[in-house]
Amino acid sequence: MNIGILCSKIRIEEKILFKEFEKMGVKVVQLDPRKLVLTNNKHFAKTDLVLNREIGQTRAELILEYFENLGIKTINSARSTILTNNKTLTTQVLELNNIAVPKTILAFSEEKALEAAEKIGYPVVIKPVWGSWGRLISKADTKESLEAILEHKAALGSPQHSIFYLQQYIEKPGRDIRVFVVGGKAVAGMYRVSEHWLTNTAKGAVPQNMELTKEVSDLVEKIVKVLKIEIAGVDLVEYQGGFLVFEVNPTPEFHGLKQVSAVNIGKHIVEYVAKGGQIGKN
Amino acid sequence: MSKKNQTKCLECQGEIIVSDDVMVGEVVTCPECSSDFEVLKVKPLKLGPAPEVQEDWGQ
Repeated sequence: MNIGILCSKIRIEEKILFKEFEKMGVKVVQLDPRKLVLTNNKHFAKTDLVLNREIGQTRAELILEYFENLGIKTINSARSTILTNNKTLTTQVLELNNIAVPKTILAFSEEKALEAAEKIGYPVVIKPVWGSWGRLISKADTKESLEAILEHKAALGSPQHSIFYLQQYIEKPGRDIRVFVVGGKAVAGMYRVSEHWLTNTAKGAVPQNMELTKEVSDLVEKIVKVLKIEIAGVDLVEYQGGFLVFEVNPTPEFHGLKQVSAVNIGKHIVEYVAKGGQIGKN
Repeated sequence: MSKKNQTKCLECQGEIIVSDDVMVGEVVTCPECSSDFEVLKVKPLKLGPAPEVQEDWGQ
């Protein structure tokens, strides 16, 4: 099988993956978007599968679609990548499948966002529809602060920042949960501990080992099934005796998990990918 | 560690030492000034500025 890894930046995770493929004796090539010129020629005729590890979400989505049109299997699929990169569509699909998420609204004007916030109740969290690592996420405790945040977002000028994705503020127990999924199965989990209301490791949260319970594994496996995603990082929060889902990441990092878990995530991914994935053609 | 794994930081001229298995495209950090660089070439070792973080970068 001829495998390509789509990535421009080689971080710890990508290096681990290249090493694990090498250990398995599976030859892979790096497909760096900065060096690709895509045309409908036969340059990729021998490529069977592309594993996406590209950090730039916009170009990754486009390139995955392009490869799929050429009949190349991609992990994750373009559809599941586009769906999970978009936080509001992810929330919608989960909610439609009776999976608990924080109360969420999507509005396209400041006026309607303010009206909707009254229904959610303050504080509310304002998130970018696309984004990662906790960037540009704000909490508004009052209507006045929400007005200011919305005005600033609109002033940024891009159409994306004039889409208002508002969510109920969830009081966390000082941590949230990241579960890593490979081939539709939960393989490892960690707590991300922080006194800050944002618990991304990119924002300084500290990883802590977590033993996966059946309840968490079952929930996460249901989530990835409805999103039709093969490899993912699922973010949950403990809430009122159950769990709420915050988001699902299609190209998850695992350097934090590596620090606290004995599970070899890289090996899991490589073994799964080398078999061509198990969920079938896109 | 041999000299082939060493180079000067483009920002502060500090010593950057990379591992034997360093790869083209890998991001390395200067231990003295914390600047990030991308490995452009392995033999001989050549670094360039790391790509700037874009708004759509993520996991």
